[in-house]
Amino acid sequence: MADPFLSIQHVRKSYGQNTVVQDFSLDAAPGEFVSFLGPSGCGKTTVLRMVAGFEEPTAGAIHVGGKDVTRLKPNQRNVGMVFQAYALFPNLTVAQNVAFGLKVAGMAKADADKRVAEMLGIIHLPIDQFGSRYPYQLSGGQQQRVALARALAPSPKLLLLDEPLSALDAKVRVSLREEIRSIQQKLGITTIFVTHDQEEALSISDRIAVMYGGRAEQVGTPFEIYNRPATKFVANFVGTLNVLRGTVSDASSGKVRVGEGEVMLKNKLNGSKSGDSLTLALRPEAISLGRQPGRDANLGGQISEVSFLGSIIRVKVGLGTDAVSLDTFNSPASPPPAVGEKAEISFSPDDVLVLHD
Amino acid sequence: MKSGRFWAWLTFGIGAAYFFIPLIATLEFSLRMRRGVYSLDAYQVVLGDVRFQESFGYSVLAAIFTIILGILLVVPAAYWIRLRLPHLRPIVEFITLLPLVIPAIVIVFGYIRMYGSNSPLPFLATAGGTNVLLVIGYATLALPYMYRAVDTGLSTINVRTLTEAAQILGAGWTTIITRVILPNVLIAVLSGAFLTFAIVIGEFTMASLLNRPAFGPYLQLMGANRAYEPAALAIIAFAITWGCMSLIQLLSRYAPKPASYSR
Amino acid sequence: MTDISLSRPAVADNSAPPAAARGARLPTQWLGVAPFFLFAILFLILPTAYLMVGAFQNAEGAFTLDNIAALAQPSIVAAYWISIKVSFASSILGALIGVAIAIAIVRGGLPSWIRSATLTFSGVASNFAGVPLAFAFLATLGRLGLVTVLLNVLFGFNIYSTGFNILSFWGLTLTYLYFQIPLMVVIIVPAIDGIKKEWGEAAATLGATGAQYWRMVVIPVLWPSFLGTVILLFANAFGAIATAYALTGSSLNIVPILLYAQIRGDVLHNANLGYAIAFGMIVITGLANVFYIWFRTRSERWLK
Repeated sequence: MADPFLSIQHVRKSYGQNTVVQDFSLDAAPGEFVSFLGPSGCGKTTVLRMVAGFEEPTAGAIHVGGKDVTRLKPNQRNVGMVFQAYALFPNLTVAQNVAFGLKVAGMAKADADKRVAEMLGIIHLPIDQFGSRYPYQLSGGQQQRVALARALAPSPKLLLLDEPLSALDAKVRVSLREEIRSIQQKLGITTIFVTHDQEEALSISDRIAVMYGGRAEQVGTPFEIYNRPATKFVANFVGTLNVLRGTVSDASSGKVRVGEGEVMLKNKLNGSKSGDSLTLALRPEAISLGRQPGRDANLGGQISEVSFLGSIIRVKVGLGTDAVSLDTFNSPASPPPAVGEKAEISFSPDDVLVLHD
Repeated sequence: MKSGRFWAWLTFGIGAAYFFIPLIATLEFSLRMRRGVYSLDAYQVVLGDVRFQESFGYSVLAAIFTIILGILLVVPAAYWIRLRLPHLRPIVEFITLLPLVIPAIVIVFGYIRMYGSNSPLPFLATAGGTNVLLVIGYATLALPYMYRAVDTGLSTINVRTLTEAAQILGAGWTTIITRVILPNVLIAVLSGAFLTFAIVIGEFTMASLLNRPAFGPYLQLMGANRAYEPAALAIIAFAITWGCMSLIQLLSRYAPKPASYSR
Repeated sequence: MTDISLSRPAVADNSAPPAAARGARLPTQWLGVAPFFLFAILFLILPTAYLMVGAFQNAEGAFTLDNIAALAQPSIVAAYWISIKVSFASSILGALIGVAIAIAIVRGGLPSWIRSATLTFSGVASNFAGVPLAFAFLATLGRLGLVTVLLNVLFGFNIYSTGFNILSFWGLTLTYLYFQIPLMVVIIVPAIDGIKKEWGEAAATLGATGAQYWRMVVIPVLWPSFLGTVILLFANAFGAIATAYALTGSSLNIVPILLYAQIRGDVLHNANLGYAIAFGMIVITGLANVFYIWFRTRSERWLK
């Protein structure tokens, strides 16, 4: 990357014998929105806290805007942070909360007031209505927006968000994540967003770092992460995955036996020999019910489950010992497939992921 | 924050000193009865004193009756308030706050004036009646603590749901209270009981003004006339209080935890 | 027949039909709470009200403000004044020392067993008032007390030569601290627990130093709890008698001791004056508790 604004270089964090972050590196361009995505305990929050300055890396360095900040205290780093639990100061009004960073920096009252009004406008909580309210009088979503305004008011160099939406209702989560993204783009501030919710990460990030066991499994755009997962963990964690077991019947021609049927996977065998077992994975949207042009691989099976979800019909097709789940659109003219019917599925060999453990 | 830790240890150290030195001094003083050598003479004298045994026994008995009275008053009330009469809660909480506002001496003063020989309820006319009044007074002093203990215990077990579940299964009120509610609040009730015991054993004002032979007035008498025995008595009193509190702590570990519904 | 309409208690109350229609049986809940309320009325409210009314009556039972006026006599005013001074001193000192200890055990980075041990001990010590406490302090700082003797033997310093005396205002205050400090610790520790770690971290990311965070967030948040508890400690000390009686006897004439003597032997030769003294005590402790509740509600509202 040309001139990364944030550079995390080979950081490691150990508590005694326990190493929580193994060897994490990431460069973020100015104005980029990067998500750290992973299950609990994968180390994503620890890396974020090291960038904020609350934890000191056991090894490695962190550079922000070309400066080495690894040894700086949190209050010297000029980063904005939004917490899962909002962390608004309960004794201060909304306006006073937002003004906190400005007051600490010694900004003149008139300038600070202007800035506070501006920030409250950005989060759509106008100062005349909400400015003198206390945090306990606000809903969770409103509190988090105030927390965002507070973090951004002192014009920090970096914005860090630690699972900011996890404590909110589902609907609020969706609208607030879009609001966070649009504010971030408008201000052009480099942002790190920690979450365990893959839909959140996929929908608003420029790039995602999928983490597991203290390491980055893959760093890429949402499209790359979803469609070209580098490891089995990433493929499983992000999106739904159908898994089929197969045996290579003829390595030279690329024939793989799956249950009763056979598919041709020419470029995907990666040196596997005849007789080797393979794990094949397919996204539901890559599979069609019945034959489809362009999807040359076919397998026969029996419909085992049908769930009518309205516009979508979710169908599960058993293929011997394995089963795949696929979605088909509702058609008002024809009834959904019946359980027990024989069915054929088709997919393109290019969409098959051959998983390595 | 290294310097922070230093100040914390210093503060804690000074605090610990302030609280332990008097205990050590009292213990040391109590061992000084025999000239020149440490001995348990003071304790022997105290424990062998007939008046100690009588007054201590009296107070223990009074404590037991107070506990029973407290349970009979508080448990049904707390249960029904939670279940059916939530709008009475502020009144009840105000009532349980009163013994903390009105000093014991004022309460017992009121008793003396109201329940003398020529009142409709002449408690003070007989010794037995006065004993009853003393127990009543103790129950009044212990009321805030007993109520809070029982109320906390009830809040942990989600009374409404348990009662409804029991009723659907066909239980009547007696069964519900004795076999569903009481076992679950037993720990909380016992905590309140031990606190009541500690309060009653050490109580002085009411017993003294009602002229009853309780442990408090005995302690006061000893202090006025003797040198070493009061120290031994203080150690004994402290040990009893410590024992009660430790039992409460122990019990709280066995209290039912609220069932979690989320996740 | 069992009434199973528990989900709508309001209905259960309003729709209680006359006893005759339901078969001469009162709704069980009223039977359950009746003993409690009866007890409270007979043994808490009525006796106190009796005294309050009596404070405004003369010997013949007619209404008068003379008793209240008589509170202004020098000996009684002196008693109230000493009570107020002792309560004030022990509550302020107890509060400051208590909050320092509470902060030390919650946020001081000390081993976790210290916190639970301190809280248990505080529960014990706050109940260790009364006669045994007086004995303990006599054994410590009395003329033959351990500390007095040790200071004399080890450093040649006789504290009694400086005019100190355990049987005095400061001696009593020092003794009162033994249950005031633990009471403060027990009450304020939950409030300090309520200071969330994230607030400190948020303040740090916003550029605040530790001192600024304390000044702008922690102290204002703790202030209502702290002040409310000071007031509670004041009321607690004001009503206490046993410790003072055992320690200083009637040499330090605080109000409860005055009332005690009056109840025992009508030393003021005016029974109704005793009522007035009790009335004065209740006014002071009542006001204190009202303020305590007001402060506590405010702080609880913030920290929801």
